[in-house]
Amino acid sequence: MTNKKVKFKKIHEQSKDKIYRLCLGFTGNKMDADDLFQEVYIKVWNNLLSFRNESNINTWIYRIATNTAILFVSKRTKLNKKINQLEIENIAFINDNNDSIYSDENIMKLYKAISSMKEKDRIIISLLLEKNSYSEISEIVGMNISNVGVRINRIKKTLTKKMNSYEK
Amino acid sequence: MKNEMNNWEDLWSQQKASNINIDELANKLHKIERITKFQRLFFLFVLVFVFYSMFTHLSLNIYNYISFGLVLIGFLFVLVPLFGNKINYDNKNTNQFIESQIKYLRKKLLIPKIYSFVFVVLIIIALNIGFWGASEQLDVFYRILFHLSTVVIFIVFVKLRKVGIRNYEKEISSIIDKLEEIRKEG
Repeated sequence: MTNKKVKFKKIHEQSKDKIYRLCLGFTGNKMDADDLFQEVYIKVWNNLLSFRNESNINTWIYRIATNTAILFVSKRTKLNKKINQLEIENIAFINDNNDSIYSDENIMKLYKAISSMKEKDRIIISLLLEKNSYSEISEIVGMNISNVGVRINRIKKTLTKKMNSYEK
Repeated sequence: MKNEMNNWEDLWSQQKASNINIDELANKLHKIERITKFQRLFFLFVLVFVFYSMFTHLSLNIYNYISFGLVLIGFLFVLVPLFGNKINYDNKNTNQFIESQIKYLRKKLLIPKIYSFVFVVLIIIALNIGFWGASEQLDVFYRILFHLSTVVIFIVFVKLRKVGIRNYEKEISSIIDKLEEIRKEG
């Protein structure tokens, strides 16, 4: 096996869960998340030679993932609006008819709520939920740390509202 | 709010990656990489061979020299913007990436609009100059026929260019609009 393949597999093993969560938070549905997830690792492969071991792999892979996601969603804008609207309506419908809430439903509700936010907000909240520091988030997104803090407060309020609206 | 955040973090972390066959993906990507390298070498070889053949097998008069030069400039006009300015995904933060992607896509829009038009004009001029040199001994009728055929080629190119512009704009303009919308979010 070539060195590149070994390195690629190692990076995939270390990062697959957090990158998949970011993809799912960004797209809001598993089908698109799977496509985006695969596209991210194709970009990882293509950029592997430019990765230097001394730089932070966390920032490196998140930059690839977020940049790929931004372009992915820009290419699918029209289709996404229709799908997201339809799926959010479906969640509300399921909730109306069930008194008990299953854990996986709650998980999907969170991902749906995040995917209905503005694109940069999706990235910021996904990075925050992965326990990245404000400074790491600012490095990945390209905002001042103070602006990141302000933005996160706003995002939390929006997310609370969205989650509550699904409960009703 | 803190409890809510912890709750979201718990829910968020429940999700695990879907299974993709990473060995298969790595093998496919490795194969594609090898094919791409081969194609680049092959393209370079063909280009060198074409120019070598042109210089060694065609008579080297002033008409042909000018034609070769124009064809070469014409190809450079299209190939440089087509293959240049590729954007790295790993060394730019989100804001920088959006900025450079918008610039890159705007430049790409110029390929069918300007660069391909310049390419077509240069190729047509090159063909006419080449015919001019090659057909000095021929009847006026055939000489006019040759030159008229370049007019037909030009019209076909212009029609194809229009279709190209329409397709490019349809695909790229909506992406630029969306990226600008994201940029305005701040």
